[in-house]
Amino acid sequence: MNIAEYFRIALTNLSNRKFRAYLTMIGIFIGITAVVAIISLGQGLQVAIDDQMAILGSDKIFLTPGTSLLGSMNTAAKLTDRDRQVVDRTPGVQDSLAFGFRIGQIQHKDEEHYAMVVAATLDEGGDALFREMLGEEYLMEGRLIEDGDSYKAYVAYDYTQDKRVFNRGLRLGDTLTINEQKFDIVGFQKKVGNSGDDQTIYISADAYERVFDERVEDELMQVIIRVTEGEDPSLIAERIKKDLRSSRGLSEGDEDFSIETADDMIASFNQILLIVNAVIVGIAAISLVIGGIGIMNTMYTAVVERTQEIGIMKAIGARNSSIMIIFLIESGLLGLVGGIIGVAFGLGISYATEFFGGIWLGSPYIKAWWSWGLIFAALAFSFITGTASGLAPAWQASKKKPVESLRYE
Amino acid sequence: MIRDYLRISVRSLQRRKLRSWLTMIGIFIGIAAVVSLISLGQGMQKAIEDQFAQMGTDKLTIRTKGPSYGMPGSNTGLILTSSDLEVVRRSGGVDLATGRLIEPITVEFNEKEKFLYVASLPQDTEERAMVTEVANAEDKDMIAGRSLKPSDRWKVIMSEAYLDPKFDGRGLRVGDRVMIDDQPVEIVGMYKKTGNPMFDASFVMNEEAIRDLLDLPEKNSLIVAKVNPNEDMALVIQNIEKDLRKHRNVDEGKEDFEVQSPEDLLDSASTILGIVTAVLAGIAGISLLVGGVGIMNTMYTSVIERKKEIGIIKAIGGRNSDVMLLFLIESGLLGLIGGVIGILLGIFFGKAVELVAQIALGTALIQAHFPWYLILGALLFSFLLGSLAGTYPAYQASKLQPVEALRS
Repeated sequence: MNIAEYFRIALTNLSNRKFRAYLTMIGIFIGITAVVAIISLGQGLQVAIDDQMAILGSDKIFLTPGTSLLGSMNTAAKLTDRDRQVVDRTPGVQDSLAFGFRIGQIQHKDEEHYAMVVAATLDEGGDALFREMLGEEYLMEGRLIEDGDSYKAYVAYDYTQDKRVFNRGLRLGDTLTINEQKFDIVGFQKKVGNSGDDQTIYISADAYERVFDERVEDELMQVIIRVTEGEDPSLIAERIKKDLRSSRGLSEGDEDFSIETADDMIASFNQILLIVNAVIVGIAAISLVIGGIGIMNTMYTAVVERTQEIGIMKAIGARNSSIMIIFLIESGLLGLVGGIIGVAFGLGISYATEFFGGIWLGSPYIKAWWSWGLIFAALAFSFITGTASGLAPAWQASKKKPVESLRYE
Repeated sequence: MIRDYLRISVRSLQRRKLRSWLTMIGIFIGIAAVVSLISLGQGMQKAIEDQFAQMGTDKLTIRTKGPSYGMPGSNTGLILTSSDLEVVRRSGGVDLATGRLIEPITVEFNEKEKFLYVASLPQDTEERAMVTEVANAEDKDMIAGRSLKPSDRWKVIMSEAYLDPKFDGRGLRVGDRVMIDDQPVEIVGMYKKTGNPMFDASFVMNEEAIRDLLDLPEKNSLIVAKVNPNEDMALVIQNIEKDLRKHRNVDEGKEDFEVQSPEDLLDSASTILGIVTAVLAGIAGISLLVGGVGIMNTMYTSVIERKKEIGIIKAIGGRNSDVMLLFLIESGLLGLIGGVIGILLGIFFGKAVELVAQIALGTALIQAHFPWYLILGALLFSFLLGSLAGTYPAYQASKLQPVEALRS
């Protein structure tokens, strides 16, 4: 008997009990659908976020006051211009850009809201970095904030939209009141995709001082550092950490600031996403286990039903291994076909989610993703699930005594 | 009669033991997953509620508006003043109100500087009691030293979080003297962690002393108000909002302050937790669907195998409904027994996760909670699922022609 014949027998047997075969496959197909859809959307989210983070550029280092977000101890430590000077003096640092931000009360016509108001230190170096990171690529209309601007504001995307922040979207030249001081709008930023960035207002450092009665330099909320070309950012980050420690009089492990390279940020974020994704996929995979048990059940039933047939095959000379292969192919096919349908449905659901997510939520993070690896792994997994579930029943079938099997009714 | 049905169903399930077990495994894995996930979600919700209850559900917090991240008042230039506090005190339904300062300070110890926060305790006895209860500043909360007396001036208490050797390599002890904004103060007591990061990061000092030290005679970082018992919380919030609007001269909808009730915070926490639990339980519920399909499959097979039996039952006078009931009971039993085992397993898993979380993470937040409606709901659901999956096969069985069935 050649392999083609094995397959033919297995297929004939399956189509003899079409309805049961379909029900069994549904078990696998639902599980694979769920797993494939979740992996596809999870990967899509990760790719979308990585893309956005990649814009930051891997030559950047981020310095913020306080320990990490999850640090057990809150600190009121501040970073000031003195710290930025230390950073700038560190070898390997090309330039740096410091931000101050506060919540301001904004007003347009009769509407009042609260918004994040950001000012950057647009000195030499800072200006270049600002233009690179927030500049031309993100400019939708008008111009960026420049050093020396007095009451001018550069506002993010959501302000241009009706009913997003204000009932009527703002236009160039409109005035906006920030903490009761009037600003002219000189430019709009393109959509970034998260509500934080898309509702930010940028003003000059001078204006910031007048509005909040505090110099940006006195309390830096974030410093973005660009390393010289060819330097290793993580090495420079370590160097800056050491320099800042000694200038702030802190011992190692006692830092009241945190410093992270763009790659660190992406890596730690990806790790969290990976764990969340794994948990959800794991829960969804429970249904695959149950689908596998369904296959086992169907195969046991098939073995019992076909006892006489097995007896005949053995009587005319079939070996144990032949019987085993026939049943294994049958259960493997159940898994594989269920898997194929499942992959198709899973990707379908994922793309439908992307489509409707785009329409209803306008979120750029709901993205479907696929790769040959995912499809191949899903198919291989469903085939293996099928085969593994069929092992015990197939073995049982192959061990049947021909005489007793023939006599069975 | 119904007992006969049951007897027949149980016997036919027993005759195909292996298949019955495999079918039930499908159900009980699914039920176990759903039950343990929901129980953990419920437990977490309960833990959060308990924590809020401990903080007192009769207290309102008033702060200046702005996103809630960061320390209170650290974002906007807006402040609440002592005249605002007076307004709140006079608002209808307010039993007691007090202001608290939570301000950044520089702490110097062994020639090292740290930037931390200091929180105030009111001087007035009644107001003080309202605050100390929540902030773990009562006598019974002290794990070393003593609590703060109203007469203390340059004395502070701190949370046990500062035992952490991060602070100068050995942590701070009761009796240590530190410099706060160049004023020497003595640490007289240490309270156990509250679990609220804001409290645990702050030194606690008497209000008068802080006002003098930081030269803040008027400011309140936040105002805490206790509502009269029997008073409607929502109504009191409205009163305070109306009075403060008038006093601060702002129009409705443009408030530069907000009044938060514990329920507000609890509601938003519960909503998020509810959504997460629902999504996870929903994904786990997919496996129940697969289990249901498994029951349907088993029942179909069973109908085909027992055609002759059905024919005999009908030949000796069994009605269609009798046959249908027999098969329905059988599939319902598969679901129900699977459900019972699943619930037991689910309870086991939930408790195991709780135990592991307590040992490995040391958190009491992850608890498994099994309200009666969860158990009953799971049982009912598994029984319904079984019966539902068996409906069509049972219907088919009941429609078999006796003669043909006998001949097969």
